[in-house]
Amino acid sequence: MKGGRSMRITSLLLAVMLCVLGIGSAGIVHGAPAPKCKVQGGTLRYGLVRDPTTFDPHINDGVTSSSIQGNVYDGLVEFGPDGEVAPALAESWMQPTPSTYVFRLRHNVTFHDGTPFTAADVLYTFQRIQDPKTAATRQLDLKTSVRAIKAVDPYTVEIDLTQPTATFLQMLAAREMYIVSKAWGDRGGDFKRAMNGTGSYRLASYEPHVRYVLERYAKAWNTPCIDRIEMTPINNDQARMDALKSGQVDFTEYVIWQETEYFFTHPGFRVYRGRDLFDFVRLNPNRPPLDRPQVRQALNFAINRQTINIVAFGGQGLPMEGFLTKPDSWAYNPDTSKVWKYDPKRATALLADAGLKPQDLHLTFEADPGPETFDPAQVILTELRQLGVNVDFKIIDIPTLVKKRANGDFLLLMDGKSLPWNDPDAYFDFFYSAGTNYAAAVKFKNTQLDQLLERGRTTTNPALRKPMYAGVERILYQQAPWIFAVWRPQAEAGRSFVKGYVRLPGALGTYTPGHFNRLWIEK
Amino acid sequence: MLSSTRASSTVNVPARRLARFRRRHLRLAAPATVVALIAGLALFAPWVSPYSPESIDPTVRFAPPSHTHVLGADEFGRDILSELAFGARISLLVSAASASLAGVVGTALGTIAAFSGGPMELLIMRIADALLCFPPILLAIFVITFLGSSLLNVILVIALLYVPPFARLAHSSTLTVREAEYVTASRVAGSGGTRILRRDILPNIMAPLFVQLSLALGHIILLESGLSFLGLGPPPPVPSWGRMIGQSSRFMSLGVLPVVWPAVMVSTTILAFNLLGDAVRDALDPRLRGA
Repeated sequence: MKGGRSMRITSLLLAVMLCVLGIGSAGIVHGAPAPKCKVQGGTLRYGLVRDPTTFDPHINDGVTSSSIQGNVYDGLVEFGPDGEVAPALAESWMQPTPSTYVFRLRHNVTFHDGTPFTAADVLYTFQRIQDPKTAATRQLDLKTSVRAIKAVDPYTVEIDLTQPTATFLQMLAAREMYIVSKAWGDRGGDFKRAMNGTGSYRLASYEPHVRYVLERYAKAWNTPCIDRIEMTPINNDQARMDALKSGQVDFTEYVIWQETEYFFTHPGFRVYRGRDLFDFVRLNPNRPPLDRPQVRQALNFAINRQTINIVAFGGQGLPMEGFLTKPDSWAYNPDTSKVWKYDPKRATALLADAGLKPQDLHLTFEADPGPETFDPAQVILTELRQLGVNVDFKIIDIPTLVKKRANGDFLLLMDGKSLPWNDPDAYFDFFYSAGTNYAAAVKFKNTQLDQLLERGRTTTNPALRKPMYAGVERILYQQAPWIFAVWRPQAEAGRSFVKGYVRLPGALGTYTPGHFNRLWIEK
Repeated sequence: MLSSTRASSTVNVPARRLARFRRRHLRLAAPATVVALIAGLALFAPWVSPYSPESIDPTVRFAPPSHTHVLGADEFGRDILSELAFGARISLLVSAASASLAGVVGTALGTIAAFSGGPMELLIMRIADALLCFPPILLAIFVITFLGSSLLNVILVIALLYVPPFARLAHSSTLTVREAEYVTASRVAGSGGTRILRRDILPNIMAPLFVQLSLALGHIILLESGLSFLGLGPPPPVPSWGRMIGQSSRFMSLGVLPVVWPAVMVSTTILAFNLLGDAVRDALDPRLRGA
């Protein structure tokens, strides 16, 4: 992270200097080295958590789908092993002005159906994402950030932004921004049930509930080491762990925390663990008694995050005593990183400030039965009850959870999420009043917060952005829109003969299975 | 009969009688004692439990049985004995409430259907047949998914599932009794339909219904545990045996006791109710009386 930060500062300084000298501008980033295979060939048998519900490369369907899509499709840029934005279909880019990007596209790239890749495909992709019919995850982001996109020539694309956007490149590297073929789309290609990308692997065949087979694409620009990947969906967590133990699969996504110890201690296995996802309780600040900030703060002080981490995740997570930045982020602020301590006395005092006793509170708390959120929810339920609060606990299914997220019809709602990328601009996704994730649903609006989030997004200098996000966290402390609970462990495991798996840092950990072209099998 | 045994061997009579008494009553007394013990556990849960069934203690997760935690602690560091005691309340409450509700409604519908005959009988019994077609757990999952899981919903759904067996049983028994001479006699004496139902028919069809009731009590505990195991039972913080099994089974690689204890409780309770049902049937069956 530190290297990336200084590199970014250096390139920024360089750009400023060149501007001053009147030379124009440059900010050329060179490509990451191509993966080097120690061993070529072999088959990787891979355990999926579930079947993907769609192959659509512009809809975020969770980690599982991106493990498949990430290997079949490429973006203009991608996250390199160090988490920095690296070239993919664009081999280089320039930023002639702070709000203009010019991408030089890679030559001699073909889609899996044999058609060549050109700038027309990039334009078509942007069009498809912005088309409301696609219901693309990044539809709103593109609409608000991109003013115009044009093909200067078949291998050059120029994108004008509405304003300088600090996270534009990271957005392009996101898993909902893969480039699709215009020719294939025009021919009526079914994006939901078939895939035609430029990636290292092509989808050779699939049978839902049974197998998804990826085969190495002979003309891939980014040649992989492993020839064939057989993915088997194994929904039951324990069964998937047993499949790895018994050798039915060589590698599996999502290892439950109860089993990580086994794979750590048994020879022949390797575990790769990060803390990319977090659990929290959405509070509805527009419904009494949560309309008073003291009450929301009180709930935060009533929770013992250590207990949640130990009981729900065997101590393998990280208590969320601050907000959404961790020590590995450049925006990390020690002042606001340890504000939420277990302090029931303080909780009672804050309630007293609001003229309430814990017994006066009657809260409806809803959670879905998935263990990753249900176990922390049980601890939170117990602790709120111990404080004396009356809690009506309800179990809801995932579709109901998704609906409630969107329409804000809840008082307390347990949830788990990941950050889109390693940038504090992630706060924008959740707390900007016109954002789609949390604030808009519950009509949470704080003018000062909105201004800081806007300025943070349009300022590109990290040194200037850092104090802005410190301000964001101070407001979040006063407003306490959520109960911030725990960073939970997220792990993959495999046989030790599977080499080259390096988890991307920070929030990007779940992108790692989208890069099988970085792995090789060395038996 | 009595006189002949007395004449043949005076010495053995008390012993044989005692043996018969023991045999017959042990079959009733043993399961009844177990049921009473479990009911006592449920009734006196706050006094039996050394801890609150909710209290989480991260320092004693998966603790083995000891003098502080008699049956050990579960994956959240909750005292298993306390959870079992409070869980017994839920299991027995759901079981008793749904079985009696189903018993009353089912018996009423069954007797009315059999007694009135005609389109009423057709309607009631075909609805009962339709409900019987579905596997109970499937129908319960279906209904709970729609209504949401709460204690009341679970009781109502299970009661609904157990109405048809009671209705069918009451129906067939009434059909037999309806033609009995004492019913005809009562009718000739001028009794109305309600009076005949209440005074002449009901008391004479009670025996099989009681047996059905005690069997249903056991089955319902299994069904409730099954629903809770699947996460469709009463939600936390109410402890429930089924949910204990379901929740703790995810941690079996770290400790098996939190699964074993509630499983033992569920099986013991169901076994006790089934044995009790058998014993009640034998006790109420006139053909077995005096054997």
